[in-house]
Amino acid sequence: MMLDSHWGSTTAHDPLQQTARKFDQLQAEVLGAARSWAADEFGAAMAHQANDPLTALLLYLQQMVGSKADLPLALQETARRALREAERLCQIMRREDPENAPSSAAANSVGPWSQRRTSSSAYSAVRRHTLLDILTPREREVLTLITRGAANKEGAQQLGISKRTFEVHRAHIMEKLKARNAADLVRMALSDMR
Amino acid sequence: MSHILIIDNDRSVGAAMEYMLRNAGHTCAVGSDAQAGLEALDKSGFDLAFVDMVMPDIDGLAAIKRIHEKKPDLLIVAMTGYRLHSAAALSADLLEAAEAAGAACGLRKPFSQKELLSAANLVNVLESANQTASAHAAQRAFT
Repeated sequence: MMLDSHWGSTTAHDPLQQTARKFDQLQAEVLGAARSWAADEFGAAMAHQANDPLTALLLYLQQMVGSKADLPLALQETARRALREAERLCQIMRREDPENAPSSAAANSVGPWSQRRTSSSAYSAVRRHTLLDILTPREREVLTLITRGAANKEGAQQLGISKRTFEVHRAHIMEKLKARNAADLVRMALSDMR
Repeated sequence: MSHILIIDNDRSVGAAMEYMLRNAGHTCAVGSDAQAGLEALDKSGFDLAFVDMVMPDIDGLAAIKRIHEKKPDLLIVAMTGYRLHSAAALSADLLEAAEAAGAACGLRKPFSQKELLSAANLVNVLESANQTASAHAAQRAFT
């Protein structure tokens, strides 16, 4: 493209052309960002919709495989294979969620059960400075209050939650940290801060 | 065994959960939206409620608040297939937000039968933790 000319009114250095090029570039970037945002929104909506029937499917298949004594031999094998495929699909769904990568701390911080539960062998391998990392943010708040000597009722009031919910958090913390009582928790929290 | 309320607008999830929980010996009621769930709370005394975090009528976090206004001591297990409110949202994880709003714990969909039954056992976990704490306190009193 020949733009630079002695006589022409538009050159490669023409401020008007430069502005127009910048505008085109910006427009393309905005369009790209909008497309990416729409794709993310669509993906999130699809994942949510797919996770519902997938949950139901997984529960039914696990029930079938678990109660295999009631099923003919051929159906037992079919149920096992179907469950394997459903579990594979679950793995794909979790892998597609970048936040759910196995190494992500966030993935370990949600759901108190198998998704974030640390086994005793894994627990012993956890380095000291990561001791409290296995707790959720809410559990850390509860632990802080316990270490300050707050009773269940008082702690619950401070966090604006029910006493029973506070007790559940306390039970989870004690189980995760293998603590026997509040004194153990205080010791662990202090040693972790040092 | 516990008396459990399930609130999920996806009927297939509610039905599958009810089936599994009844097979495990629990008693259940299912509400297909937050409003139905809140109405069910008036009719029966539940030990535990599973609450979906994304429902068409009420936001899950608001639902937790409304449930606790009615039944402050009810244990709530939040459920969701979403991580955030929306992909573009900068808010915290939805299950962490649910925990901050008062849920005792969260389950991420798709969850397994084992995870479901562990969560349903929450009431027993709490009771046994309280008993252990009492036993340790008694032991300390004697030593």
